[in-house]
Amino acid sequence: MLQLVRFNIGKFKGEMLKLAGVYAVPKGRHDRNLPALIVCHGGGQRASVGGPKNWAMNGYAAFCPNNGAQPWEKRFVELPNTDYGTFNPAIRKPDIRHGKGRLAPGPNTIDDVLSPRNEAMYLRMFAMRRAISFLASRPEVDPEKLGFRGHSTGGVMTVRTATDSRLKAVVPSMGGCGFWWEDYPWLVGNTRGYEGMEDEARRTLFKNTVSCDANWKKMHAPILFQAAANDFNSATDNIVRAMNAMPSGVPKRLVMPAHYNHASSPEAAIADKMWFEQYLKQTGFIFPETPQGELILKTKDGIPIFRVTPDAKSKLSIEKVDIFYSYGRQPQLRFWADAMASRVGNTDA
Amino acid sequence: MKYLALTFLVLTATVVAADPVPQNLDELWADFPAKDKETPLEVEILKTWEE
Repeated sequence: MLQLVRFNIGKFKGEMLKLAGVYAVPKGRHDRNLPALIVCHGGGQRASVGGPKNWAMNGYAAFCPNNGAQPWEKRFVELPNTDYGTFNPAIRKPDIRHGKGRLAPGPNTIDDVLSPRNEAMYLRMFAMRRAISFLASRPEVDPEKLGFRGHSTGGVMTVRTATDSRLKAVVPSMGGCGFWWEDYPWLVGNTRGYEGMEDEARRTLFKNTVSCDANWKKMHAPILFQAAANDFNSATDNIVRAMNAMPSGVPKRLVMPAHYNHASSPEAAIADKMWFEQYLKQTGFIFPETPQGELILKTKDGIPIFRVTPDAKSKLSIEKVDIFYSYGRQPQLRFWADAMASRVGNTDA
Repeated sequence: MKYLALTFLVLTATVVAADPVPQNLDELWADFPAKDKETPLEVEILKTWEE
């Protein structure tokens, strides 16, 4: 069953804001037993029917919020939509606070002083938390089995919502790595410049509050990051920084096919379904541990060896092992060469 | 003295009325559970269909 729904986000400066989206539920009768997901679209997209429908066909209640307030597709165009009132939470709309930075006050901001609540995505993040409340309130949903999955800007929304304690598993895809403010040690001058954020105090307030960086440091839910080795929107090196910033003990995995930019291979794309199988559906599927890697630079012939040892306890069979390497310093431009892995004993090298 | 006391009262009321600016992630979302609880969702079903 599919529904177009709309509910209150909350009241800001006297305006009641609304979030609309597509809600899908598997066929049949359900009594507070369904795992449920928020599936969040990317920056240029709108809520789709196909996304939540696909998850419902896999046994989840799923809500796809139209969180950027983009116009509906043709068949829904007469129906009410997401409404952010006089505020401006869309990242692609012109920001009339030119040059004052993301947290500066303006005519359509929440606070009249420098504040993280003035950041363009704050209201969308607030709306995502209300979307969790919506799912938890549904009579067919088990409120202890809630997850969040989003691609691109949806990945950013996933990371920025992941600290909500009601979420039990999250999967950001190619968005939300954060750490764009720091140079790579081997390539300087690559930070993303944010107009008006040159001031250290403004930058610190942003980094400590609404940024993805702050959220990574507070992760509590098992997290799978779906990446692409040449992705423009989530640089590999930043993902490593982000995952290293997480509290210890929180399950985490990274899937990242070589050669791809903002898209995935079939074998990597299926990983989100398997992650939620383990942590939401709890079907008994266990995600393998991250393989152990060892880089040996000093060898007799001078050719480095990279040794990979897969999770020996995993009951999943291994179809093949590929090892890729690159000399590129710029993550998006790396050319990945196949090292032609061979099996040595119980390891591949 | 009377005017001074009145000014102090007005200033105090102004400071109390304004939401403090959150300085970290915990402060940013500290009031969400209360706001979430006090604001009904009032869910509207705009359309229902099968496909």
